[in-house]
Amino acid sequence: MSTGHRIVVAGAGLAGLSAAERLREHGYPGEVVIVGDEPHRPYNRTPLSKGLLTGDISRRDLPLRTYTDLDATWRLGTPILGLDLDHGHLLLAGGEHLGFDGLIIATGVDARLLPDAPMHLPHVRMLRTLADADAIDRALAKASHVAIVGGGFIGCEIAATARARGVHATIVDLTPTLLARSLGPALGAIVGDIHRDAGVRLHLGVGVHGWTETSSGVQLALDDGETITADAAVVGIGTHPRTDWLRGSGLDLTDGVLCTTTCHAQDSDGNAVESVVAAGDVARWPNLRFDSSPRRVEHWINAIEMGQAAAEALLAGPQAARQFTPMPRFWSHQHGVRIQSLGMPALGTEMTILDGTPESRRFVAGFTRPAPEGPILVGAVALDSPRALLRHHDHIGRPLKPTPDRPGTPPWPK
Amino acid sequence: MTDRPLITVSVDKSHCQLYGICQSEAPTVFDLGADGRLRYQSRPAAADTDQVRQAARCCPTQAITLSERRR
Repeated sequence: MSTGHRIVVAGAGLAGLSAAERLREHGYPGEVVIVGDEPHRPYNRTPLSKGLLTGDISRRDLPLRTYTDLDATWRLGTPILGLDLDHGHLLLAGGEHLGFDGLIIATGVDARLLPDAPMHLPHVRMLRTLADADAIDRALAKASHVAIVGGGFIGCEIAATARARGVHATIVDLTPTLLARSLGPALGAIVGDIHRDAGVRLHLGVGVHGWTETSSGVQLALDDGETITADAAVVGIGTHPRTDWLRGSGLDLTDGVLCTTTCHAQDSDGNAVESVVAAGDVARWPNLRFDSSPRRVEHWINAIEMGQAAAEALLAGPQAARQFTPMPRFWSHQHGVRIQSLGMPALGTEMTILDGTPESRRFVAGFTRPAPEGPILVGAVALDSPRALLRHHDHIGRPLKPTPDRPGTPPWPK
Repeated sequence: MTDRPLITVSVDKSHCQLYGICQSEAPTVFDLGADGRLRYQSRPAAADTDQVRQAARCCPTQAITLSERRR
């Protein structure tokens, strides 16, 4: 790959930016073209549901920094319509062909649509972009009650933001606890209590049956017969990878861009494509630190690390590239409580408290799965315990309590 | 990679939420103390530059600012 003269980065978000910076850090001398459909250079999306809406973070703080001159050609406000692997070019809006020697796919995800939700109304929104955050900001400014459909991180953070702005908030979710998919039911219940204590109303285990537009907002009819009347609504029910533009390219697009352990894209026959890598939310790859199942990881830090790894892999080629085996990490901030995760708690079958007590809401919970050598710690979640969580960083992927005669060894190939 | 510059580190304490990500990225430069305070070397060695940059990139609140300084 090192002889190529142009690398195109598809997607101007955090993963794409991290990839471009790593290309230059490794001395890649050719042309770097970054194509993004939003009009902005890469910016930090994490404050969009939190600090930007509470006023703690200003727009000035959003642009992402780099520490190496990117010397990149920016093609912003430019949707990508297709990929032709045989000819090595992208099809851009307007019919332009953009040729490449190497391609980094980092187009991220879109918010998932809720069928029947009246998304045409100005006060019914989803959240992905800065423009979405601005619209939610305007809706919250006029609202006294916001209905939030979806009890994942976006929904929970929007609820906390609303309370901080003095707006009543109600969360509706089909699952019986908040953050169930990421944290499991026991921790989800604790997070639910934190929200209730902050005045958030929860309607859990029920779906939205129908929406009615009213003169001042919307009414949501729930499956259990209740009705929620609100003057704004935010829908945050998950994401889907942005791969529409890759349809017909020959790449395996089952839930994102399927990648090898080295971030190289795979075609539908299971072959690695030497000239194409993928990174960030859009990429599905096997993290051999845990197992060989390919998964997407929608964490902010993963976008950084995978962008860098994908850039290195593109320069090195599939044979020489290192396997990408990161320690997944994420954080959230809700009602003044810091929630942090290490590893992949969702892979655990048992949960045990490693530090502190759940009652104090300052604790670290460990998630384990069984193995012949004893339960393996696959993830840990901390509430307001960052220092305690750091101590467990190196234990993820190892037996929970190594003994002297059975020292913990990593289960993944080195 | 090219030569590492010397850098000066500063942390905006009004933005820092003490997640400790910086410590896991650059443990020789950042330390989250038992008293809940973050301590850091403001003028780390050139050998630490890569790790400190990664800490700044990964900081959840983007509270770390780096500037280059002369040797």
